[in-house]
Amino acid sequence: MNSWKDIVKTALLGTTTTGQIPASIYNDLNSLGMNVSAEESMEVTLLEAAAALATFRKAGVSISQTLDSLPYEPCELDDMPLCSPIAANYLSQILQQNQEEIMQEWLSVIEKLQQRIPEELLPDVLSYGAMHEKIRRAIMPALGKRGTWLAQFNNRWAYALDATIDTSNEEPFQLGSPKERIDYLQKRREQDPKAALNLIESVWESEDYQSKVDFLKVLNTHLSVDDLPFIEMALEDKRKEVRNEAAALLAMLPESSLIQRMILALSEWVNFNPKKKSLELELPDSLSTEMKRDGIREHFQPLPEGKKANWLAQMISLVPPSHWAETWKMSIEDCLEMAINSDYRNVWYWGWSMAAKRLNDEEWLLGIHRYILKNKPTGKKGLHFALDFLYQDLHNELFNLLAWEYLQKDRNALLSDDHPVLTLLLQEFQIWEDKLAIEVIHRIQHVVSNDSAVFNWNQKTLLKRAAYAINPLLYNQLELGWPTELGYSWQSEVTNFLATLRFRKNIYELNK
Amino acid sequence: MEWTTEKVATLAPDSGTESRGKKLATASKWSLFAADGRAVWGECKGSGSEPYYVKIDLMGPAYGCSCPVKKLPCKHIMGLFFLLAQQADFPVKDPPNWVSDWIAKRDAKSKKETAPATPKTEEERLKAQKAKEKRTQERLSLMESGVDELEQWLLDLFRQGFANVDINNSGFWEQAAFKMKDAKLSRVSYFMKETGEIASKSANWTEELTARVGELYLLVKAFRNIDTLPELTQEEVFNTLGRNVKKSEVVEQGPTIKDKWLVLAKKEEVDLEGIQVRRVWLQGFQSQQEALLLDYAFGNFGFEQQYVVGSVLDGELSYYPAAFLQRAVLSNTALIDFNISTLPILSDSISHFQNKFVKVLAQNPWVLQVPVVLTNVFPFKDEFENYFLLDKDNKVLPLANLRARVIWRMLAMSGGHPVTVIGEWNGASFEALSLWKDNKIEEL
Repeated sequence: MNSWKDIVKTALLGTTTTGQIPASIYNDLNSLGMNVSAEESMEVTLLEAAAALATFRKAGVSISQTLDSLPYEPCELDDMPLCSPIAANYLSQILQQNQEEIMQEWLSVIEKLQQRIPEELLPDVLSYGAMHEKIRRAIMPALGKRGTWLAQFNNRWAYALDATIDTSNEEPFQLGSPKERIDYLQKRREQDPKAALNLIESVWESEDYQSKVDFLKVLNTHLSVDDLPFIEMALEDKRKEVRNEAAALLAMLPESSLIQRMILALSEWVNFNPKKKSLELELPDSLSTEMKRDGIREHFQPLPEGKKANWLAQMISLVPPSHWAETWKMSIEDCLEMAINSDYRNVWYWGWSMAAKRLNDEEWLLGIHRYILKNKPTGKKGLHFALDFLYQDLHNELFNLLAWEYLQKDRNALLSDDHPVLTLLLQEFQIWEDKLAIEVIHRIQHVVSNDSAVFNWNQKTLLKRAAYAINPLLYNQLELGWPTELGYSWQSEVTNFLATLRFRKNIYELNK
Repeated sequence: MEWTTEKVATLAPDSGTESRGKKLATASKWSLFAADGRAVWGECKGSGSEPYYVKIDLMGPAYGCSCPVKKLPCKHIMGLFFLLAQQADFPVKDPPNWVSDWIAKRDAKSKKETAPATPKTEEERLKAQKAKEKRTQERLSLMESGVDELEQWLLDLFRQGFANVDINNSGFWEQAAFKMKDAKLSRVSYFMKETGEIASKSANWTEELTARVGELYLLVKAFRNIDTLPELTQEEVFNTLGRNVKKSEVVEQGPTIKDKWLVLAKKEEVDLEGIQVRRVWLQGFQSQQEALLLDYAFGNFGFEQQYVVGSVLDGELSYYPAAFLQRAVLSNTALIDFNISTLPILSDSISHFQNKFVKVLAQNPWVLQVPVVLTNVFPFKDEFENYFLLDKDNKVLPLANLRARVIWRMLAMSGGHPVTVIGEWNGASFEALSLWKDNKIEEL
């Protein structure tokens, strides 16, 4: 049967155009025992042939392609035990609802149980990890041999193969793609910071600026004084992008010459009057080249103040805040008090907050929070920049300490919708201590017992957060105490809160 | 059959309803809930003063709820179902009237479906028969005129050639499709629309178009010679043209096959006319028969009956009259617990199911798809992101699945080791739908 191509060709052109039916078609029809009369029109003959051959082909679609063996090795069957069907069901629920925090918890329970993700869910989990970088590390132990095996087939899942990077072989760094080089370097830096630094130094001169920037970013991991000479050298680079990256690293190292230069320059700009306990400033008209090289940006204005004040703010943000308390021989609270009375209060507060955050100076962080909480600077002494960043990424212990202080401050059974603690409590990935959790929920319960609670949007948001932040073993306790009749929108908020908390409790109990 | 959370979850019409249902699966949301082995019922607190009355017939499963949501099962039904699956000490009680009445009605309805029609007097019977014959005759002459038009259209198409008509214009196909619909040739009409889609989208459109035109012409020829064909082949021709047979008629005509039916695979899609189509493939353990339950759902309404892939139903199956028995109605069903150690009908190689398919084509050359259970195959992908199954004869079958997730799940479950893949073969391509592993079927 080889007339098919002729049939298709004739059908495409039309019998009017071709003017005849190829002989092959008659031959095939004859061999199928279909005698087509010569008097039949060309169209009919062609249709009959199409009808016969189409069916004939459908019956005999030839699967001609063959392969002697699979193009890859099968996965080893000896693996960790699978998680239970109920745990698998929880996981698919988490995946469907995209609950990253609960996913973390599920993964940590499964890791403790030394079990692995069921095979049919591996693709979904691997893809989830591809989109959520934070969770990748937690995913790896639960993948089992099957998951790692599967990851080799999809580039988006390659992160799951990282565990198998053999750092003794430097080939990926010397010959790999930019991404492979960085992955290798990152891994190496985690295992042996000095070796990674040496590797960067060995190729530094011949790299383009983009690679240099990426390499410097890798040094953020295990950054130490040992890296100083190299980073100081990078600060002399001819590309601004490289210099900025180096300056950002140096700002993390109190021993760096950059910070010393800032302190020196600031000592000329800032005059402290110990008797009056006041600050006088003398700001230069232009920004020196050296300052620019050190990462001070001429036109960067995070504050509503003038250009020069913003240079000053950037410089203060690079100096460890403890420097000021020591130099002026004052307590943190006194420093803050003096600054709030100066015309440059925004500059000082912004600079100190940034520095305390960057260097993770808990004393100063607490000090600033406490000062603001106690004095609530408003009006003339108000601060004109968003303090949100002060609440972000706090150490969990510090977070709990602060939140508790905020709540104790007001001695109120209720929680107003504009309470300053709300901004703090709404931070993601913070776990609330039991004491804090119970206090917050009791206060919300008091609020919802009140008819006027319908419009407390911030508290509804807080309840959503609470569902993830609270120890799920408190479920039985927190399930109680809610009014039986709730305004409609509160009803669904409370239902959702309890359902999420119960779901997390179920996950914890997998480990029983 | 024991209802686990996973089994219940497969009944949800979408993931949103599933998660909302799970939130309601806590005793405190229900002012009342109980079961009696056959039925489950409950009263769910809602925003209004009246609770929602929720009922489930486990024999279906079938369900009802007094809430205004039309797409069933709603979150209340899912909630009660999840509660049943989770709650260890689910109370057992006698059903209240609103439940027992509903169950009685369902039983009466299913009896009516299966019971022979109420006997009529001779006169009535003759009258009904005459009316039916008249309708059939009218319909037949309408179909005849439609087939005439179809033949002319096909002849014109080949005379002019695809290159010389406006085949990329959907109007060209739709116009022809409308005419077919007017002539009660609904399946032909749909086939036309589908062909129009292929003409504008497929890379291999010239061959596919020629083959489809050929199939239509075969249908024209069969209709012209209908009197010379065996009776059941005649049925096949009428079915392919688009005659509708009522489910109740199918059951009435009999015979029925009583068996334990395994739900092998399920395929749901929205067709070109926006109608939801669902194909459920069954295999009978004793009868060694395969069957297709084909259902349509319109608009926002879900399917009346739900099927869980991998479950086993005790029931009576009646085939639609045809030369190749495939489409069927399943009635008097009950879900049962049944340990499956092996699947009733298997193909151990690609050639095996191809040979089987040839026999099917000999009975019905217009068959759209057949189920295939292919054992001992390796799913794999090549460097160009094409996906295949490799069988024991080292033959390679390309997979037609469009959703990457299905392929990845299959690859993950096989791990490079042989598995049993269940899917549909349409004569040109294979689409995987489920996978048999560790004595159970997993939907892909």
